[in-house]
Formats: sequence, structure tokens, C-alpha cells
Amino acid sequence: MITVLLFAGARDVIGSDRVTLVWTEAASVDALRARLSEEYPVIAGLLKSAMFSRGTSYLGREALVQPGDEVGMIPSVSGG
Amino acid sequence: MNRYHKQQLFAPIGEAGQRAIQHARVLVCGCGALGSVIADQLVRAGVGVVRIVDRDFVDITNLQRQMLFDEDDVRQQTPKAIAASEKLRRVNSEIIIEGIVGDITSETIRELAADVDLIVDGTDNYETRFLLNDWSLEKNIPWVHGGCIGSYGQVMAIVPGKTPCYRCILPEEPDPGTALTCDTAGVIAPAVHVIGSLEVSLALQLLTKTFDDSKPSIWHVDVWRGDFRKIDLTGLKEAGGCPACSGGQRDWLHGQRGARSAVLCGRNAVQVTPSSRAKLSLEKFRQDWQQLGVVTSNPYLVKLALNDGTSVTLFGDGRAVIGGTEEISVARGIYSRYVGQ
Ligand SMILES: [Zn+2]
Repeated sequence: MITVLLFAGARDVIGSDRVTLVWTEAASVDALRARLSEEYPVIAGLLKSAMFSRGTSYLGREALVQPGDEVGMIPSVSGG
Repeated sequence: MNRYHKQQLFAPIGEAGQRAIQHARVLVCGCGALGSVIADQLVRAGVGVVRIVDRDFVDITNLQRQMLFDEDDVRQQTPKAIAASEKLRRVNSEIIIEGIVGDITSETIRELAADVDLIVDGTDNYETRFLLNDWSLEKNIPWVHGGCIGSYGQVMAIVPGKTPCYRCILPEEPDPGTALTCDTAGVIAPAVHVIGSLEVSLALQLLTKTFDDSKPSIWHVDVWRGDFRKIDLTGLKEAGGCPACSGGQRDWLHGQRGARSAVLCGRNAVQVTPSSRAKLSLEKFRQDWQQLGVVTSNPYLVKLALNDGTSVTLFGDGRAVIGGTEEISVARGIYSRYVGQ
């Protein structure tokens, strides 16, 4: 399992501050993005421009998410 | 005691820092909610030249959060850059404050940003930010990015060659409709003030050469829940592969990307820009439009309010804000009908 902490618009749209996914082996952030889009199509648009983090560190597209990880999903913000 | 006494007492700034601030030239891009906060603080801090550029005029829905404007500005439809610069000259008459009514495009940026030491982001759209990012990389000048919506926002300082750039964190411009906009999610004043203030804090650090570019990061803030999160971007910088800062692409600066029309966030309006820059006689339009609807004007713009609820607000540079629609094709139709090609 992994836990995805949701921030900003993602939390608002899903109505919860986290979701959990079955995650049996290490896979990339891009794979996580695809998986979230599939299971939560409502945030598919936000996912394209969202950044991911683990703890306080940025996770690049190819970074590996391990089973048991807790990662954050932070949609980009463009208003001003 | 001089007017900057308290700021100079703050050790990281000190007298040397204050001198650097007073010698600096800063471009504030966009003077809506974030831009108002940013311009206000930079002017009070004593930045030598503060250039404020904005493409829009003051609207009643701005007053809830855009701190430099009032009801007189709404009545007179004052361009934001003018209203802001006039107000701020009363705050600090010892510096140069330039208010420029206009859009920041791949053409205009060459004049607007030619001579500045720093750019601070008060825009409300991705496209302009990608353009600022291209300019910053091309000219090797830093910029401070900030954006907000609802109760949250993000802030990041970009120093070319040292920190990741804007395109590192956002490789492609999000498709229209996929990101949240303040049209649907709204925005509250506390978010704007916190994000704008964090931007100015980074700006002052950059101007006083106290910014630590060895630890690149981006702040994500939610002022409603009290959540402040600083994400370390060191890994991103090391990964490389960015089309802009590693690959040298300047798609927005070279005009390969970027549209001639833009839906204005939260305004039920579309800005239409002519394909080449123009210098119009606003007086001529003021007269020609008399028969067509209700015409109002000020020295910077002429507005034609049509019976069907749409409106055309035309600026001297040929741009128009078409009110009452969010459809770019509809707006372009109205533009060609009342302004021409
Ligand atoms: Zn980059």
C-alpha cells in the first residue's frame, strides 16, 4: 500500500486529505500519476501539472515510489 | 531618522542592504491581488525603480482582495497600473514608480524588462509565467514566482544557473480547464497577502544578495488550514532534463507558444490582442461608438457597453477586453466587428 496525501485543489475535489493505493512493488512517479488518473478521474486534469513529494523532498517523474511510502500530491496554482 | 530606519535595523538587510534596495530596478508583472501586495511592499521598502505593468482595469469584484484600489477606481474604470502607481507615489515620493498599461508579451517584454534587476510575479496565468521564465533564463536575471487560489498558493525564487526554473516544476502548460481557476475555486485575501509577502521576502533577499541559492525550494501554503510546506528542490536540479534551463528552449520568448487571446481569470471576459501592435485614436472610437451603446472613457481606455450585455473596453495599444463572454471565438468576433482587424 501507499498513501497519497492530497493538497490544495486535489483535496477539495476528492473531499479527503488522503487516498491509499495498493502498491506491491516500486514504480515511478509517472506510474503513480497514471494510476491516480485511472482510479480518480476527477483529478486527472490536476495530475498533469501536479508535483509529488516524499517528506520534504521533491520527487521527479522517474523517482521510485516504494510500497509503504507516503507521498504528497500538490497541484500547481496559477491565480494571482 | 530616515524612513527606512526599521528595515535597516533588521540585521540581514542593514545599511548595505538598504543601499542595494535603493539602487535596484524591479518589474512587477501584473497588478491584481498579488501585484498590489508586491508593489506596495517594494515601494515602501525603497526599491529605486518600481515598474508596474498590468493589462486590466479595476472591477468591483477586485476590491475584496486587491488592496491598492477603491470604489473611485471602479467608477472611473482606472487601469490598475495607473491606479496603483498614483496611490503608491503618495506613499513614497523619493523613488521612481512607473505605471504601464499593457500586456507582457514576447514583443513587449523586450522593452518592459530590458533594464531590470529582478522580476516579481503578480500575473494570473501560466502563459505569462512561462514567458517570464524564458526571459529570466535568456537574460540571466532572477525572478520570483508566486501563484494563489482559494486559500492556498506557491512561491519560489528562480535564479538562472543556480536553482531549478519554472519549467522544471511545470514542464508543459496545463491544458485549459485542467487546472483550478479563481473562477471556480475563488480566492481569499489572506492567501493573496501571505503569498505576495513571501514573494517580497524572497525579492528583498535577492536584492540584498542574502538569498541562499544552494538550497532551492518551493513553498506551498494553505492559510485556511495553517499548512506551510517547504519542498526541497535539490533533487530536481540534479535530475536535469528541463527543456528550458537545460535544453535552452525559449518557446514563449520566441513567440512559438502563446496565444493572442486570453480568458481573464474571474472576469467573464476575454482579452483580444491585435496581430500587430497599434497606436489607436481612442477619441475616434469614442465618437464612432456613440450610436451603438453606452460609451464611457478615461484617458487610457474607451468602453462600449452593448445592449446584449457584452462590452468592449479598448486600450490605446489596440488591445480590448471583451466583457460578457468567456468564449474566445465570440470575443474575437466582437472585436473585429467593433474595433476592426
Ligand atoms: Zn528548468
